Amino acid sequence: MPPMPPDFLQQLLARRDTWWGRESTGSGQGQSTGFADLDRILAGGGWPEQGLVELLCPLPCPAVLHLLLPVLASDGPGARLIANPPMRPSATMLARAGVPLDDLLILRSDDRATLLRASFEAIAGDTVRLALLWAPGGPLPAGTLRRLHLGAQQGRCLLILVRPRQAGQQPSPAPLRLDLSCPAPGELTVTVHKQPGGRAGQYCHLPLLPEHLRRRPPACRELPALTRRPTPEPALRTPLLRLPAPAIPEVRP
Amino acid sequence: MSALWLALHFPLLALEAEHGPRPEPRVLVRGNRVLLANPAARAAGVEAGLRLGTARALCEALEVHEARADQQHQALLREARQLLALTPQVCPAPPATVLLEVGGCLKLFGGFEQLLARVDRYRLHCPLTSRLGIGPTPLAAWHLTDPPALDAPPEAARFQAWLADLPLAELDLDERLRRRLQAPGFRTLGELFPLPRAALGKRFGVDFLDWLQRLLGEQADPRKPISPPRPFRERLDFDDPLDDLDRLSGPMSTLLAKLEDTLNRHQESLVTLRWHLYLNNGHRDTLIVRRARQGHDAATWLDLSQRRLSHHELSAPLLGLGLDGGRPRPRNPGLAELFPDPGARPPLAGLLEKLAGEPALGVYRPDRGDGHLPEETERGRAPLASPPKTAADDQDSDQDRPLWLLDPPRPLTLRDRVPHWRGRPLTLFPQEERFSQPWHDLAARRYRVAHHPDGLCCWVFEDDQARWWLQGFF
Repeated sequence: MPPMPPDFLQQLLARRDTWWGRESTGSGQGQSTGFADLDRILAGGGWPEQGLVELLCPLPCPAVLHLLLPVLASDGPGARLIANPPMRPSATMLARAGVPLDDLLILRSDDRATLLRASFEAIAGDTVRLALLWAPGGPLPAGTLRRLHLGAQQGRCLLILVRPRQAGQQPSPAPLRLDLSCPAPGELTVTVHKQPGGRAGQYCHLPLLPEHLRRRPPACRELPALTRRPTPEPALRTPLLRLPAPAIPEVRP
Repeated sequence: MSALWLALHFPLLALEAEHGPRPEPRVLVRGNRVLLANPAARAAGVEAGLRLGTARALCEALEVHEARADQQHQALLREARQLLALTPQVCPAPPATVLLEVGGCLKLFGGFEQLLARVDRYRLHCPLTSRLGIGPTPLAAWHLTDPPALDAPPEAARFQAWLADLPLAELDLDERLRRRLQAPGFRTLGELFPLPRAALGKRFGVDFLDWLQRLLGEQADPRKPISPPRPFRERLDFDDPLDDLDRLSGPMSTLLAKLEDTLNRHQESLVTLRWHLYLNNGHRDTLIVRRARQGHDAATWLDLSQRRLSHHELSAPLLGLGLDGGRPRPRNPGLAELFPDPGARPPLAGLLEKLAGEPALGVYRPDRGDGHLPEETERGRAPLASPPKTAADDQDSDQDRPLWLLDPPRPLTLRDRVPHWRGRPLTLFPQEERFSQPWHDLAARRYRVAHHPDGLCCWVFEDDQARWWLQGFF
């Protein structure tokens, strides 16, 4: 074996893609995910401050947005971006969760090159704090992923890339990769696929929906309906004919 | 240099604002009364104050126009801007008069006679019927119309004599005040001059005394002149027709540097600008570049313009490039932070303007709407649109609503009276929620929560024809 040049090790350590051990990444550097169980299994104590994170899940996975609602709603400077969502995220529910709608931007495009270019521009521009990108169809080469990771680091942005589960078999430059699965409605199992400074294979169960939506419905038993009518126009609020108000039963499942 | 005012009255402005003077008899009406009649109509006996039916009986071919104050005001402003060629002190005096201070520009135009010749030339080409007044004060010019032929500015004593001859019945005063002035037997304004001013004020009111003093020049009568619009319009013509849009960045930055210079000089900024591409085939393409907030820096405008240009196809070689600065707005600099936060991020507006220029990209900002049905309560706001004044309130905040909405809802297949999605059956919750439809002949939608074996919590509904639809996911 030829002798190694003396500064070779220093050069290797100076490379940006060389991972350091647990001491240098440290623990407790990340931002909390809002779920104590998930924070416990992540080496940084939460989501990293910036860079690429991959979530691998069977699509469509409505639970992904639930998982990220606490970090979307956390206050701090910077905008939030949702790119290429599979459906329309409900503004009402986002507002109820505390997400500032004025700082939220949604991107959609049928053209994957335009989408990736616009997403890169947004995350690298230092305006966006958190970007949530559903991977467009077709393969994502490692070069593209690396560019997204570097762009996110440059723009101090946490980029969360949602990819189908098959993508987990391919290597990726993302430092943190999580595997998501929905064992039951409203519940999510998060398994660490890969993380810097921590072990893979740890998992946790997270309840995402309130108890009455997660509980299995009882055998078909009819309950009286709740009826929603459009609110009347202001001019018609006083009815011409005064009728006794109909009694609407307020029954909760 | 003494002040000299000209007044241009447009007595038929309301009638002529749209199409200019016409030989046909025309009247202006409000309600059912004639407000104004042109000479042809007056010749037929139609006068202001007549009922419309009477006027029609007098003159069969009468054209009737409804009074529109905004149109009249626009026409007056248009004339005032034309008159800026004579003097910078042009003051519109609604409803139908423009006052000009010309004492300061007699020398520029080569004397009083030359100036009046210019005014006559203007009146000849003006599409409106006009009358000229002249006087040492704005109010005097307003009243002393149709002066005799003059070759020099009349001296003060002559103006005083003309004013003294003014009949009280023709003064521009309130009708009741005019009657009160005439009641003691006064006929002309000159009869009021020798009376003690204090007594005049006591008898006819302080307002009248103030008016009289402004008329005679004993008190200042400040008028606000209109400010001329200064749109930035520049055009560059190329020696050789350009085929390649990439080579436009040089001319663009030249024009934008000029624009920035102009804007800086006047402390103004722009929200929108237009590029005109003059093509070899005689056509002109216009590209509009918008920003989220007003700005004046050439570099950002150049970046946004080049992005806009990169999606543009040229149909013919380019002969010239024009830049239209549109309507500049006064700059309103916000308070700069003395110690900016080291972790501060640039505002979202910069990113929005860049993304809004991409035609293949759908960008929106989610917002709540006022609708009743679930798909109507969502509204996407265009990236550069300003936020709504009043936010829609969350009407049923105690109810479970899905985080994801499908718009439009997707149909579900029905097997053994159980809705299926992706080939697997849904387990419906017993609680039903009805949303009545906006039309009475449509039955209410019956919504239910349902579980899917894939670990999904869905929101489904059944319509009046027993079809099932998937509305969203929790």
